[in-house]
Amino acid sequence: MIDTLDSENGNDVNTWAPSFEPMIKIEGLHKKFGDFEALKGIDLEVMQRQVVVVVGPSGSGKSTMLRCVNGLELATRGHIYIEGIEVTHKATDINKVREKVGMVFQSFNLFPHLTAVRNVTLAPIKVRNMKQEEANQKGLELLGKVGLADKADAFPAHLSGGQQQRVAIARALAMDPDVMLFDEVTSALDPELVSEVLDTMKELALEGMTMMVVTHEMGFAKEVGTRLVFMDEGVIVEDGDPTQIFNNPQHPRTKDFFSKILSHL
Amino acid sequence: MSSFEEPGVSGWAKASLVMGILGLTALPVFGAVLAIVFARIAKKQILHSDLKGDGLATAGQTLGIIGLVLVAIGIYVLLMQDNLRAFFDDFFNWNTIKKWWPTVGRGFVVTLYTAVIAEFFILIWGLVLALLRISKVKVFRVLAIIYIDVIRGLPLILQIFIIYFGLSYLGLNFSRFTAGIVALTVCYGAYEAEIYRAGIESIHKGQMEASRSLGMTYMQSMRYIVLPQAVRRVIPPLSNEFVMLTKDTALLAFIGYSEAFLVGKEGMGKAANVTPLVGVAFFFLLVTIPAMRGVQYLEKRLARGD
Repeated sequence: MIDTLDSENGNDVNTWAPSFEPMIKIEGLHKKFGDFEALKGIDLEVMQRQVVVVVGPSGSGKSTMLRCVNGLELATRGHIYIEGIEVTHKATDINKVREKVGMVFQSFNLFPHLTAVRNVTLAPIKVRNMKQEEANQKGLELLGKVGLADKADAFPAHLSGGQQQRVAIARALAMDPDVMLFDEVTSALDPELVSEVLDTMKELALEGMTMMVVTHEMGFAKEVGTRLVFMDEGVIVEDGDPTQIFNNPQHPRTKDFFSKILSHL
Repeated sequence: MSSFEEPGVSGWAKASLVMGILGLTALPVFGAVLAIVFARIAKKQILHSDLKGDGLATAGQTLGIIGLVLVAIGIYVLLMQDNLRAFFDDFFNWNTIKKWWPTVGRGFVVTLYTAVIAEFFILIWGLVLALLRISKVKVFRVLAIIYIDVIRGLPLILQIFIIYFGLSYLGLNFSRFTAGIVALTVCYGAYEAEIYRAGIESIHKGQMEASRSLGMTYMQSMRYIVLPQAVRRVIPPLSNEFVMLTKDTALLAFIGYSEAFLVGKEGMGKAANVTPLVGVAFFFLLVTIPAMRGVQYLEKRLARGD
């Protein structure tokens, strides 16, 4: 029923990884919203430097799983560990964990009352007590990295969707995270703005960032993903090499899903 | 309709305007009535022909009506001369104005600074209540809801009396000023808490999530992300509350606090006419009307800014 990741599979994808300790470890994760069970037992291990692309029909629990990882949603049952620290444990300081986990959202969620560079530097200054000048320097560096050095003093309202999303990526990177979570980050963008955001993400992946990417961009999954997870109705249905799953999906639900979306390509 | 020929202006309309002017000058009543009659004829004529002059007819008609109203007022003043003189003597007595309005003005200064000091505490207390009201801790939330409901369910005058007289039994002897400030803060804090809450809840929850996901605490996120945006949105309604507060400060007269209304009332007794109270009204309007205009201007500007 549920294809959990066996060790063989994990090593397969990750033979070159420097550490065999999983970056993210999800064990028996359940999440209920009232009577609705969004996640029905998720087991998943994400190794360092992996780019795990999570796909599936809407309502399959992809975003919920992602939001459980950094504690934006509280797990109903099960355990989540990030670098060995249990996120789901009551005594864990969730803020400390979140410093290590960057997140980018579908709706950008930039802070509209702050300039681009202030969006990036606020958390380092307030959470890390970084000095203003140092943070500014770093902020400008990160904005340069996402190609927006000239927009440092612009307010979000004066940026395009693609630019806003790239600022949001720079903002998440400012805390030097070990993992980045991307929650349908191109879904709210005009089609012509999608590629600039995907390119930024690709660059990040090439630098070796560990990433979990919930997306509908199958091209990105194939090209950048080192691993593909297909979810449906709150469970992981298939998990493995992206190209293999695209070319030869094992599960009927995966076949059905790909046949529906790939027919448009 | 021929497009080469400019349609003429209705003669009736011209006549109406002329009569309207005469009705205000040389031919009162008669001219005004004719102006209205001519205007009606002109309008009917224009409706069924190509003739122009509808605006002219309307002008004539308006002048006619004004002429009649002025005549009516004139007759009324003539008939009620004595009453009106008595009224002005009572409400706008020049000697009393000279003697009492400066005193009332000083009372109004007290009103103003009392309102300002109270507002300072209200802004803080209201925010605290709002944060308790939306707290994740149920006890805080329930207590805040009870407080806000009870306070908003009671007349302010009652709260002022209860706080001034009631608390003395608890061994707390408040001066009139302190009791006044406390009562206004207790009451208006509840209203402003609800305004703050609406403002905070109007900020998209993605803002809090983005902020929290960066490792900022709930309080940091509130302080640096949510509140700066929320406060901007609630400035107009909070300013409105301040105008109301300024007016309600007059209720402190009932515990003997010497603000504008009480001074005016004393003045009324001593001068034996209403003029000092008219002075109080004058000073209130001097401040409240510009303030209300200002709030509307702020609302428009902030609406554009979003």
